[in-house]
Parts: sequence; structure tokens; C-alpha cells
Amino acid sequence: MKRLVWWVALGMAFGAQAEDRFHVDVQGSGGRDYQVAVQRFDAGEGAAEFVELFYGELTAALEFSSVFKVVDPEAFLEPIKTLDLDASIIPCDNWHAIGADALLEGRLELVRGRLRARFRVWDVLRCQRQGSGRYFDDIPERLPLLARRVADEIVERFSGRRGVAGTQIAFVSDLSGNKELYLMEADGSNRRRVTGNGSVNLFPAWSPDGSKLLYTSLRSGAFDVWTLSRGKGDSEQVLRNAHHKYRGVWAPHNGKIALTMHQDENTDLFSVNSNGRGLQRLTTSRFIESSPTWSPDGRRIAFVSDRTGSPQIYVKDLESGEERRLTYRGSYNASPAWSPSGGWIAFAAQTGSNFDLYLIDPETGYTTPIVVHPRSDEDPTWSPDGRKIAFSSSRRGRKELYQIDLDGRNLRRVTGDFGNCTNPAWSPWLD
Amino acid sequence: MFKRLIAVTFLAVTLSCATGGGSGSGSGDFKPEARSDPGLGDYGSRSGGAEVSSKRFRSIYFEFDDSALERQAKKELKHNAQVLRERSKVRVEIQGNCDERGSGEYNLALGMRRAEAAKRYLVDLGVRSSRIDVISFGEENPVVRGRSEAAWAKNRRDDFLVR
Repeated sequence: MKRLVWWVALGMAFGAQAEDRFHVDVQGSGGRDYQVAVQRFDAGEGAAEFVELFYGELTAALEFSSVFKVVDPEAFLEPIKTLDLDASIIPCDNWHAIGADALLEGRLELVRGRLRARFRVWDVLRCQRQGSGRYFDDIPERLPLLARRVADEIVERFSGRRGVAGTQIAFVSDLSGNKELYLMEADGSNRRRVTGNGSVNLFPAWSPDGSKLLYTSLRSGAFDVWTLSRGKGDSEQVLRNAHHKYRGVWAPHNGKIALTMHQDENTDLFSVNSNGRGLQRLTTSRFIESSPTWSPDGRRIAFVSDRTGSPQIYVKDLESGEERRLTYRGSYNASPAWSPSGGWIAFAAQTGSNFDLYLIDPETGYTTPIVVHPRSDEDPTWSPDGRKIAFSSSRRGRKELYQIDLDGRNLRRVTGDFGNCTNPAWSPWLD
Repeated sequence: MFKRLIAVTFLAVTLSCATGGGSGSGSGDFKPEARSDPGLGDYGSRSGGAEVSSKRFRSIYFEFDDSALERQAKKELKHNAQVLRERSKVRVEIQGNCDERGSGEYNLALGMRRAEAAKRYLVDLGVRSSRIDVISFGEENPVVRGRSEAAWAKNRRDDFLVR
């Protein structure tokens, strides 16, 4: 309660217009976690060796969701392992008695060399199955991803929005001595390098289907925007011309890419088809326009312009062409990132020589802080379920990647001892 | 012991590059680029071997978030224009830079604006425009690392290099 009062006070101090409500884009449990009891899965022939690892990955992914807390199996009155996945009733009282809201049971089987996870999830209070039993399968080497997909499905059944444990984050690190692109799972595990050109690589951005990354690179001698596809070793330039390009961002639906490009002695926004054709100019002022981010319906772009003397955030309606200033407080507002629901734009606001992260409602201009810290927090990116923001923070000295829930809970560091990590880009769902 | 071996094998296989294949567009991995280029690490002086040392040119400096030419900057630019008059075959690349504060992308644009401000001034002083290239490194090419105004002031600059 005290924490809520503090956030409201800060929000009001920051200048909430006439409204003094405080709202965040959190749905589902209303801030309370669901307690989920997870049984070790039963195992068919050849699958017993996977049970413990699967349990570990599954429970970690459920905890990662910010929707569930996993009940300690020590507390179980019932067995810790699923004995009969096809039983038609379960003793709900014994699960309810230990505080569980949900029960997850399942069975692992090896079917033609693929690991199959069958599962059922119960709403314990109503003693009903949530959704029908189903299964996912994959090759055994991808067991962690399989477990995350199960967890994300469970999160969707209970909260209405799919979890993001099975998504990835692309980012930039100077670990190797220069800035290259890296990739990791959403929880920070399995970091691997993706580019290796020895140059300066920046600003990864995902295609809507998660199969490609746009990024900015100095690899050709001047900054340009490149596309890297899964399964292909070579990157390709999006648009080959004589002009420097500083960033590319894919539109949500129509295959277009918004580009920050320098042309005619000015930096402006353009859009182009992903095959490099159909270049269109979007902004025309004699000032710097940069940092485009698309609204989820693809009809608007928020961007940074310094036409009033310092960087501020604007919104352009692509149909009408109208441009409207959005940020009025502070002398330097940048790095806008539109939320998946469309209801917020996250951005970095400069305070002194550091940045803090804020959310602004693109309709009303209502602004509320989300990460405020004496050191610098920058580069916000949204998880595809809109529940979390990943960002780069220098609070421990180096730049490292963190995640935070939209309601301010569950701040966690996801990189460490990995050079300076910046420009995180959260992938869409990947299947 | 056996379970640990399985776990280690899983990790080793998951961590190895490009598992490829699989169902769905997202399940294949990005192939890590082999390090083919010797790299542009020293991109401050990519051409090398020029007769006129870049040291004859003088860098110019800027106020925070600004691309206006201060009085001292104009003096240095007059000097640089003189160097270019003496060596009429020399081409120059103006590299615009920013300090580390602020948005990395906006700084790429600001660095370019700084480079172009210098180019315009040189052209006004009679240097042929076609002898001058401009490029921005934003905040990616600091000469001094550190979080102090002294360090930042040295990084907000245009450098002039022979091409």
C-alpha cells in the first residue's frame, strides 16, 4: 500500500494532468500471483531420464511468468509425481488445502524419437480442468524450449495472455571488444553471438514472425541497416543507396520497414518494403527525426524530433500525415517503444546526465515513471505479452540488461559479466 | 552422475551453433557469423598511407546537444581550409562524434549534423564540396572514456582525416 502511494505521488509530482488515477496495463490476477502445484511428470518408456530436467525447466518458466508462484512439493499432500494422467477426477481438496490455485500434471513420452509432453491443468478452487488436455513435442535436445512452451500455455489459460518464457531477446554487447549482436532466451540463459564482423553493430529489431533481425552496422564502412535471417549466415542490406541509415524497424503487419535515413543534409524517417522497394519519405522537417516505433495497428509511428530545440517524442498518423507532440516535460525524451496493446509508449527521459524510464499514454499524455534510479536506465523494449519491459541499466557500473514487470514488481538482472549490454529487443512469440 | 551427464549433454547441444531444422519459423537459430573481416576496429583511419598527415588538421569541439560552431571551432576550420588549399589533391573526411550521454540513435544523427556544419563552413571558405565527405560515428567512437564533463567535452567533436 505504501509502495502504491509512493508511485501515485511520483506520478502526480511528475504532473498527471487533471487525472490523479494510477493505472497500469496489468490484467489477470490483479497483481496477485497464482499458486501452481506442479507434479513431476509421469514417464513413458525411454522418457524417465528427462523427468527431472523437464520439471526444473517447467517450474523456472512458470516462475518467470510473473503470473505464477510454484508451490513447494514438500507441502504436497498428494504424490509429487503424476500417477495417472487420464484419471477423470482429482482430489481438489488436498490441493486447495496447501494453497494451490492450480495443479499441473502430465506425462512425458518418447514417440518416434521426439519427446512429447502431455499435460492437464486444473483450476483447483472450481475443481475443473482449464482447457482440454493437449501435448507439445520436440526433439529431446530442445527440452528447455518444450518446457517453456508448456509453461506459456498454462499462463495463457489462467491469465488470458500467453507467457513469454519461450521467447528470445536480441541485444548488443561489447564482450568481444567491439559491439556485436547476441541472442539469449527471455530469462537470460543460453547467450550466443550472432554477428561477427568486427565492426560496430547496433539496434536489433525483430520481424513480426521472429525469423529475421534488422540491425545497424558500420560493417560496410558507413552506418547502414542490414537483415539477418535465421538459418542464413550472410546479412543483406535492406536498401542499397548512398545514404547513411541509422536504424530500421519492422511494421507489425504489412512488411514495411521504417528507416532513419540521412538524406539532403538532414536525418528523417522513411518507410520501405522489406524487399527494398517503394521508398517513401515520412517526415520533412529540417530537424532531426529518428527512433521510429510503430503502433500495434501499424497506423501510427512515434518518433523523436528535436524541432523545438531538444529531443522530444512525437506521434505521426500515417493516414492523415498529422504529427503531434507527445512529451512536454523534461528537456530530452528519447527511445520510444510502443506497447503491444497500444496503450502505452515507454521512453527514456533524461534527468541530469542519466535517463529514467517512463510510460506515456499516447491518447492523453498521462505519464508515469516505471524505472527511476540515480544511474542510467535506457533502451526499453516490451515483451510480446506486454507484461514486462527489458532495458539497459548502468546501476552496477557496466551496462547490463534488466527486466521489470509493468507494475514495478520482479525487477531482475538478466545479464552479468557479459561486457556492456545495450539495445535489447524482445522477440515476438516464435511459433 | 548419469543425470548430470544428460544435463551437460543437453546444455552442450543447446549451446552449440545452429541446430537448424525443426518446426516453425522461430525454432532454427541464427548462424553466428564467422569472423571474416579483419574488422573495422580502427575505423578512425581506414585509408592510411596518405601523404598529408591527418595531424595537420585540427579537430573542433561542440557544446552538449549542439552543432553550432563556436568561435574557436571557426578558427580551427579556417586553419583546416588553409591546409586543404595548400594540398589541393587531398580529400578530407569529416567525422562527427558525440559524448556517450543520450540516445545512441539520436547521437548518430547529431554527429552527422556536426560534420555537416563543419563541411558547410569549409565550403563557405572556398573548399570544393566534392573534396569533403561526411560521416557520423555518434557516440560509438570516443577518444576518452569516462563519466565526467572533461571526458565528454573531448568526445563532442569533429575529426578531420585524409582520405
